[in-house]
Amino acid sequence: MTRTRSSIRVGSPPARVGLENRQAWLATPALLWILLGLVVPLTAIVVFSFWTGSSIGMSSDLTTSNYANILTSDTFWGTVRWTFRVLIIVLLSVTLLGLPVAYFTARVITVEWIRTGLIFLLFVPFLVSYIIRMITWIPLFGRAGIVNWTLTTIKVLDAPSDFLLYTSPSMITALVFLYVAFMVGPVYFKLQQLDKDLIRAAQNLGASPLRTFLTVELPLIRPGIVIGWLFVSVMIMSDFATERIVGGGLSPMLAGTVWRRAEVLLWPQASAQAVTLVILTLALASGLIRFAQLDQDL
Amino acid sequence: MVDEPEATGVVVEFEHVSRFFGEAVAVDAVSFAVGQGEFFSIIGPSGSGKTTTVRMIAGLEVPTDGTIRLFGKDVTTLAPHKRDTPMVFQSYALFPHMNLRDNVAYGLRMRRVSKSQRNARADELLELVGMDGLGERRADQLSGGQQQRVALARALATEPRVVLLDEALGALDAALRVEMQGELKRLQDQLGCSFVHVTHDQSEAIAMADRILVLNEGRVEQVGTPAEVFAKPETRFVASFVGQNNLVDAISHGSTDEGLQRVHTALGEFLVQPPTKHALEKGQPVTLVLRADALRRVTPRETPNEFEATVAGAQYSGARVTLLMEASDGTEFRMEEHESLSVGAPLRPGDYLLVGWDIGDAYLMK
Amino acid sequence: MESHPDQEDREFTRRAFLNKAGYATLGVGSLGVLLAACGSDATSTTVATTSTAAARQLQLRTMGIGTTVLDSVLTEFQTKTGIPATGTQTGFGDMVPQWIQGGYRDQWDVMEAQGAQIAPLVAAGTLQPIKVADITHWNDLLEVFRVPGAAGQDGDGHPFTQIYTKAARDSGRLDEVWVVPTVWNGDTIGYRTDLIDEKLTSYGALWDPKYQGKVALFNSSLRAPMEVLATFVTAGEYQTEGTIGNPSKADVDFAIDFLIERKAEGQFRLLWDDFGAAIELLDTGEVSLMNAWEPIVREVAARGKPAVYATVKEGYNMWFHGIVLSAESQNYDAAVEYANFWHEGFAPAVVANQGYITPTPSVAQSALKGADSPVEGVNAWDYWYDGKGRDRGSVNDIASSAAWWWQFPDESEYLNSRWQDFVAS
Repeated sequence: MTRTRSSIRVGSPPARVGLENRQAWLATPALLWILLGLVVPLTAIVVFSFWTGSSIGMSSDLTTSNYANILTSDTFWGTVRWTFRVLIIVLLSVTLLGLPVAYFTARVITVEWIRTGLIFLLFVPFLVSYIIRMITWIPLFGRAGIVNWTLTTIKVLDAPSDFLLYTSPSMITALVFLYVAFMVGPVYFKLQQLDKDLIRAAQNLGASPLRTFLTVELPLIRPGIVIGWLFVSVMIMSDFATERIVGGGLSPMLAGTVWRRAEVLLWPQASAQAVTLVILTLALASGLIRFAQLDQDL
Repeated sequence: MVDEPEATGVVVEFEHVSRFFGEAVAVDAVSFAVGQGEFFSIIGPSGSGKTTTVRMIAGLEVPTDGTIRLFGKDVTTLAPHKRDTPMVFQSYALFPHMNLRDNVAYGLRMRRVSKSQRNARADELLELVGMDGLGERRADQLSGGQQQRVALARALATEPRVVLLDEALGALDAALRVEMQGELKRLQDQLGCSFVHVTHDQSEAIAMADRILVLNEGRVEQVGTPAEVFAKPETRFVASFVGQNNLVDAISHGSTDEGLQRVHTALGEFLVQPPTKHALEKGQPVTLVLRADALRRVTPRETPNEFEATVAGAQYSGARVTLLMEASDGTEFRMEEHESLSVGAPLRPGDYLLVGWDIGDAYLMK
Repeated sequence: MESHPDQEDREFTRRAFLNKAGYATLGVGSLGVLLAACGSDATSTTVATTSTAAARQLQLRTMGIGTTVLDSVLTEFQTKTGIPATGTQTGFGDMVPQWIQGGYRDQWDVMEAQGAQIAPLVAAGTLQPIKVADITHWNDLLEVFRVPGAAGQDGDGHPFTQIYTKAARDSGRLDEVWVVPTVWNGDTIGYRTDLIDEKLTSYGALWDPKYQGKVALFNSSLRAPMEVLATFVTAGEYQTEGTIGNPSKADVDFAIDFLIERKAEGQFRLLWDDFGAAIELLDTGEVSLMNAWEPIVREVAARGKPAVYATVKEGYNMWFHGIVLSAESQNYDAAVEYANFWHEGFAPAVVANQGYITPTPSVAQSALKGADSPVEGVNAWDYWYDGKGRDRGSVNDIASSAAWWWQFPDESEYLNSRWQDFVAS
């Protein structure tokens, strides 16, 4: 089955191609690659989304009914609301969790190689496949898992808890731990970049550590935070498996509903949902970017 | 924040202050005091501990040992934001996310001064440093000199009793630096606050300082007025670091009837004013300090102190030229003279000169 | 290929039942082969060519799920017939798409398809019929597969109607089929007897508030909704407009609304997708009961956990897999040989311990009597076919108690959309 998960590739900006500028042609393979890898599938998905999902295979009879069905579906909008609710909770959590981690690493650890090592460690889980990372959740948090075993052994619980797995909170927890590194990374690098003299200046102008953080460091690392939000948001919007593997499949997220449509071969319907998902994600991303820029002007 | 100062007249006081970074000693048992209204420069080569010293005044570094007092109060471990010791940085360190007015008003904002009051004060200060009307600008729209003026205004906004300058003029070009030096002195006279100024540039210290502290490898080499430090270095290090001094190894060789000290050197035998503090024994090794600008071309027997040397090279700096000379035994030394002396007869490497100095222009150092 | 009359038979909506692509599984040791069926990527098992060359070399290239595309079976087939055989294991949900959308069907001669997959394959014109006369043991097939109106068929005549071509049925000649059945079984619910202290005899246990939060449902619109209908029809509390296996929109609404209601009460712990994960769920006691596949329960029991596959009063959710022949295949004779081979003793004995049953028990009986069962000293025939081991009686008991056969409902798109409502509710 063709995977419908789309990916966003970032390439060099389009080069000015003129007869006098022969080097520009060097960008051609990259442009072709972007064209093949991004534009073609995306175009195909947009086209399919207007086709008719007939009995066997798609027919190219154009219809807007796929969109009409989505836009009038309570189930779809319920999923949209749920996805954004989860997204907001996850963004808040990765911020509250990731900021102190980044701050601790960048400010408290003074030895360069330990700092670099810690940041590297954060990304070690990403050396194994996504599925493996998610599946390790089960032996950790299942009824027979390590956490339940520990809690029952030390008598915190009388019996293993079902709450730790296949629930919305467990799914959200998994998403937070899965993606927190993408929050820590940009914030850490922004903190590293920050001129230490600015902090010294604030302090000896009378700013307490907290006010230094709030009035100087936080505004200056905000682009890092927004980039972290952007990463995490895009990944959550395209995450179709965590809700199934850890969440139990009964609290679907947007990407998962696209996948569910695709796996029962309702491709035009899946395409229409995918296009809607892409639009929602782009709107979210541009909102975040605008937020970051707006703030720099304040 | 430090309470009203005691009427001691001493603003900053270091008592045997040391700072270790692991095994490394950055500052080693340093003691000094900065008086009210004084412009105090700390000079030394890089790594001498001068930045650590000034940061300890601000509380940005905490001493490993010793006591620091501000206005008579022990502040050794007091947090920086409670000290009111604003600093002007070499990097200017203007907050890039604020406009100039907000930068200048930052210290007042931290003291919870109302917005209208602090903005008025910020505009006043911007005017004081010649930046009036630019409050809405951002730091990245300014030249280095303009940024430094704003940084200074920001440091002065809370009317501190002491302002710290950490290589504050180091990033400016020579002309701007001179202009800013004058500006700083003017502001100091106007405001009456003390400045503690760190620099590696001795000319900057000469131009501005009331007193200079010379640091080397974390230790105090000498404290004194610019005249004292430059005219009478107390240690070989100071002598080699400040001014353009030629240090010549010498051996004391008794006195003349006129009470002048006779010394032997590889360049010959010379007559020098004896040290005032202590008499030298015969055969005692000393250092003969010859300021570059005290050396001059002489005619034979014009002065008792003369030797032959050849020209090795020349450095021009405005109207002055520093000649690199090589004595007959290979000793290298510098001689500074007015450029006009070479007009019409340009010196070339290898040219032979007879060099000497007047008795009062050199001195001996143990 | 000429358009076959069956292609206009009825309006089929494309669909697949399971899904699996994109899913890995937890390691399940001895069931590695089964796992491959549930994994995302097709894995290939190739049997070395040892055949004597014929004028035009026949070959057999088969694809299907890992419980039927088996190395040992292909090796034995090749040894016996001299026809080189290659097998590709793929996910259940990937089989039909690979033939219909993928354009890959020229790479295979046969697919070991499930009954409900036949209709879309036929409608898409991807199959060629097989002549009944070429199937050696056709008349030894259980009657439910080959005799119209035989006991055990559901209201729409499944599986009989799924097997014969429309032409063969309409003419009454019954001379050609789209599929030759090779294995079958009836699905029900699996549970842990140590976690549930009663003997379960109804799908109703899945909705019983006693087991709130202890139930896993298979993530397919073709199971739980039908099980709901079966529960209520048997209890006399609901009358379907359509049939259980082919429900009307109103029937679908009834079943889905009930499921949504039960979900809101917290009845269901999760939806399971993956064979290996399902084994873990029951093995670790993550859930106490689930609408399972028999191999899942067999594996959990083999690991020493007290798990049984229930006998239910509503009747079973019946299914079969069989050989279908690609419209583009040049290896008709090889496909026929392969189908015949499945009816004889070797293959049925291999799959017996998964709980899979041959449609030709009389042909395979002697071989099964010589094969081992999970219990020492009891042969596979006695254990699986004669009811000495199976919790739910003999093969004949199962064959005669179908509640519905897996099929492709007329309202499948509606069913699927309502199933999504349930999932997202």
